Parts: sequence; structure tokens; C-alpha cells
Amino acid sequence: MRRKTSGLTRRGLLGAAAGLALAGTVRAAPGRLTGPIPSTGERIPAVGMGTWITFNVGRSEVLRRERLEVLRAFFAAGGGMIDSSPMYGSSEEVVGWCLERLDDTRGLISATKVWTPFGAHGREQLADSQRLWGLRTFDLVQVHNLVNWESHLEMLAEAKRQGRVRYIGVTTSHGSRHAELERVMRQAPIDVVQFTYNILDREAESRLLPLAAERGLGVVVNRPFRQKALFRLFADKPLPPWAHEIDAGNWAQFFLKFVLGHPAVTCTIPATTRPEHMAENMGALQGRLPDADFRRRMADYVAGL
Amino acid sequence: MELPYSAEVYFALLAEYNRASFPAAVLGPALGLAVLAWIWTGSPPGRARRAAGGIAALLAAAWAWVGWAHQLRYMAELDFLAPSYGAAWLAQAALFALLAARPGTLAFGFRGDLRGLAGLTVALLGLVGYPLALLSLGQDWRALPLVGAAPNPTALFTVGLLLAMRERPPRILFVIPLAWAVVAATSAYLLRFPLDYAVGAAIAAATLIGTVRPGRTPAASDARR
Repeated sequence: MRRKTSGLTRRGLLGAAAGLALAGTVRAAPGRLTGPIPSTGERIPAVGMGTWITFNVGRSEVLRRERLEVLRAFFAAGGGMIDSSPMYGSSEEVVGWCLERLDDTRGLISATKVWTPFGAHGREQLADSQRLWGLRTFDLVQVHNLVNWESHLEMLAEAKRQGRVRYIGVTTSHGSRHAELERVMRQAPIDVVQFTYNILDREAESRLLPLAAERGLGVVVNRPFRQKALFRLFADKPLPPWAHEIDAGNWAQFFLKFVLGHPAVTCTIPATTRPEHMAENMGALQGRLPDADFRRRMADYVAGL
Repeated sequence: MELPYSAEVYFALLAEYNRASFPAAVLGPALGLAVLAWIWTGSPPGRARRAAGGIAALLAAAWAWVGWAHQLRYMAELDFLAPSYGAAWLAQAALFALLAARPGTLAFGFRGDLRGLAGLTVALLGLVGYPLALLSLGQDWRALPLVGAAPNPTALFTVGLLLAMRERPPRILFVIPLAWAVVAATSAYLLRFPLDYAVGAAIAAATLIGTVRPGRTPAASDARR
């Protein structure tokens, strides 16, 4: 699978621009923001796409065609990671259906999961995912919600040795099972970890994000909008006038840049059913990112609304 | 907690399901209407007992169809919990089939009292009230959930009939419908679809009235001494 890569790297820009910090922001030169997977140094677009609920549209051709336009907007804006799971109903099949109908999917970073309590079933599930996506190789396969992770990680490590999977990892969501996740991050040979982090759910800042940096793990952040809750809470509130200092033109970009501004984050995977929202999300790939002080200011502002 | 699909997707699936299962999808409401008409027009207790087997068989068929076609064939594509729901609906179908094969256990008919009226009202809610409420909310008629095809109206219709019966039916018949009331109310919350709170509440109320035996008052007990 070929990949678009940007010569401009987010972390590199962060370092290079450290001296150019202005009003608490970190300046970045024009270009697509990327984040690293430390185990190889590969950089991937910092905004990806989740498929929980949004791509689970079953047999409806009308809804499938709508999702096709969402994916078209995603790739047109330089999107990379598409994350799914066998737990998400028909999502994997719908992603595969859409990919088959798109002319250019070169930027794709395919990410799925293994989700079964039975160790012996993991291999079969991975084969099903390959068939549904129409891919022979996955970029990333994760153990979903740490379900039977010991057994599945063994199988995934073997698949990685065979070249069927490039990276392996584990996931949690909703802030659950962080203690066990920490244990896996410390002892298992994984490349990537996925968990929930957003401007309201910041528990990961205390241990998981620093641990990921220490262990050299890529971090995929799910629920950057806490499903749609952040929009329900704040969409009718004014975006702070200083949001332009990080090139955030709307709440979606404000929330995403808060997440991406954390130096341990590789990418985040917001989900949407609408191409115009996808375009807003992907706008977060451009421009400046907040530094620690600016992120504190962002969190304080939201907490005060 | 979240459901893995949206209300929009659920109704798109229902439209496809109704289209694919036509005319079976409209057979349920037609038979349901016939059953209610038969109960309402009155029937001598002996005839009611004889007809009970047929009505129990129809309910068994409705629950089996919803369990197999709706839950296992369609919803399982969207929801990893659907196979469990399908098993529960098939279990309820088996219960009705068992009772259909044992004449005299059930006595469908109109009680002619408040409980009977409440039962018929809940059954009518399932048959016409719920689909009409959805139509009034702007739902496409092709995506309407119907008795005998979709779970909410079928569960409402069933507990309504059980409540209206001349003699109280075995309590076990209310267990799975009550569990479905919890599913319906939970879905109402998770999908932000308030109408389904009413479905859960109506099934739960019918179950409560249908299963709680009125106790003797102390005065009545004293009078018998």
C-alpha cells in the first residue's frame, strides 16, 4: 500500500518553532500535520477517521453512498487512518464497499481490531476483516478493549512477522480499564495504544500519555468530541476570539487541536456522517498547534462556559 | 454506553426489511386486527378456550418471525447484541408454541372489566397507535414497525392480549416482554428517541397489572373467620 507522506513533520515543527512561540502558541509552517509511530519513525496524518456508529449503515445503498462522499472528502483533505472494528456492526463492510468505489485511496492507513473472548477465533476474525476491507495487509490491528489481549497479541505478533500486519496495539475507550492498559503498555511488545482523550476527559494526561512517550508508543486518540457531546455542550457558545492564534476556525478544529497539541499524540480519529463536517475536521491538519500553556488556556475557557 | 447504530440507520433498515418481507410484513397487522375484533365482539368461554390454541400459535409465529428475521437476519448486521435478543424472542415463541399445543391453558377473550379494557388499549397501541405516532413524527410509512414484524409493536400487542384474557395467563409469559421493555426504554435513551420510553412504560405497566394478584383486605379476611 502506498502512502502519502509529508516532508513537514509535526514534532519536527514543534521543536524547530519552539523559539517562535507567540502568545502561548507554537507556530507551525504551512503543511499537513503528521504524528509519529515511534517504533519505526513513520509519520502519519494527525487527523484520521473513526467508524463507530457512523459507518454502521447496513444494507442501505442511500446511506452507503452518503458515507462514500464522507470518505471522498477525507482522502481529498489528506486523511490517513481509518479505524474500525468487528464490534461496529457493518462498519468494516461499508468501509470496504466505499474503498472499492474510490479512485484514490493512497493515503489510507488501515486500522481495525480483534474483538472476541476466544483466542482461537482471533485469527478467523482478522481474516474476515481483510475480506471485508478488501485488503491483504493491515497497517494497524489492535486488541479491542483489551479483550483476551494476551492471546490476541501473540497471534498479531505472528501476523506482523509474516507481513500481514505492520503495527499492533491495544485499545480502551470511555476512560475505562486504565490500570490494566498501563500494565499492557509496560510489558507487551506493541507499537500503538488507543484510548479516549478530549478537552473534558483528561485523565490520560496524568499517566497514559507520559507512559506512551516513555515507552515509545504511538498514541491514537478516540472520542476527541466525546461522541457528539462537546458540540451539544458548546456549539451555541462563542469560540474564543484567540482561537485564530492556533488557526482554529470552528469548534471542531478547536477540540481537535487541543488533542493534537499534546506532544505524545500521534493522531486522533473523529467520526462524522457528513462531508462538510469532515472538511471541518480535516482543517485541523493545517496551521499552528497549541503548546502546553495555550492548551491550559483552552481547557480553562471550556470549563468556564 | 452507546448503541452501535443511529435511529436514522435503524429506520433505513426497517424500510428495507419491510420491503424484503412483503407481504409477510402486512400479514401481522391484518391477523392482529382479526384477533382483536374476535375478542371485542365477544365469545362464549368455551369457544374462547378452543380458539386460544390458534391465537397462541399466531403469537408463537409472530415472536419466531421477529426473532429470526428481524433480530438474527437483519439487526445482527448492525448490533452485536441482536443474536441474544433473537434467542430471547425465539424462546418466547417456544413458550407460546408449547401452550398452543396444550388446550385449556390459555383463555383469550375480553374480560369486560377495567383490566380487560387496559389490555385491549395496549394491544391497540401496538397494532395502530405506535405506527401512527411514528407517522405523525414524520417517519416514512415504508419504515413503520408493524405487529408481527418488528419487536416493539409485537411486544405491546402481546402483553395487551395477555392482560385482556378472561383468566390470568402464566406469569412466565410476561418475563421476556418485560425484558424487552427494558431494552426499548434503554434504546429510547441511547438513541434519543423519546417515543420508545412510552413503549417500555406501557409494556411494564401491562406486566405489573397482569402479574400482581390483588391481595385480600384485612376486613375481608376477618369477615370470613
